[in-house]
Amino acid sequence: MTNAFSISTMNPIVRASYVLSFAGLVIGAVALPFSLRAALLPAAVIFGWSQIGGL
Amino acid sequence: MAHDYKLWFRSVLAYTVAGCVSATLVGFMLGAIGGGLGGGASRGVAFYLIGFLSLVLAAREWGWIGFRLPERKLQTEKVWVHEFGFVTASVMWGLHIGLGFATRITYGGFWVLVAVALALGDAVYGAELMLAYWLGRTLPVWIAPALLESGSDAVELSETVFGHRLVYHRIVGGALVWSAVLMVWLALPTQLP
Repeated sequence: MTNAFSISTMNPIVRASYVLSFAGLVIGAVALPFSLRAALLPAAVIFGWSQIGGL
Repeated sequence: MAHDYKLWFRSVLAYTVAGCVSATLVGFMLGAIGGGLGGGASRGVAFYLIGFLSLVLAAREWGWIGFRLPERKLQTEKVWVHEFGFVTASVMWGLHIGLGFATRITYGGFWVLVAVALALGDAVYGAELMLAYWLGRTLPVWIAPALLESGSDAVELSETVFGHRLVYHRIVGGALVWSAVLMVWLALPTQLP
């Protein structure tokens, strides 16, 4: 049975986008207790990466 | 250009480095302008406003509300490659797109970064923020050839993501909510710079 949200059957670029976003938010959350400014940098990377959807 | 990996590498590297220069410069200038506009108690209010802006933009990304973002409806100049060759054109594309404001802005996250750079008024952090945005923007160019089946064809990359725009709206919406949380945190009196 194929799950519509199955990561293994996803388009590789879309899969990479989800993985990067999840990793970015985790890194941001880990950075939060140390530096609020650093916690925003992964979000900036996600915003930049997502411009791929504006091609 | 298929299979000319040296040319591909030089072009992508040139694009990335050139964009780093213009993005860093723009971020530095935004921070410097913000620093010149002042700070103090008004900075806390500014962070609350940016937090609210982030939530409004997240709602837009998720299709709950609709409005157009301020942007120049321009792509960079494809013809440069015919006039200047791949590597020089890549430098020019990087410098042009790295400015951020000079070409299309599809998602709202960019404007939150601009607002944060202005509100914090720190030129170095403004540069770091825009540099992070640019590096995120170049990442697909570096890794897409490894992910796509038929190599580094930009047309294939475009076709691959064309049917999945909703994914990017969702992702940016999530990152905008995260930004809103950080802005409220930054607005707390104990966190104000």
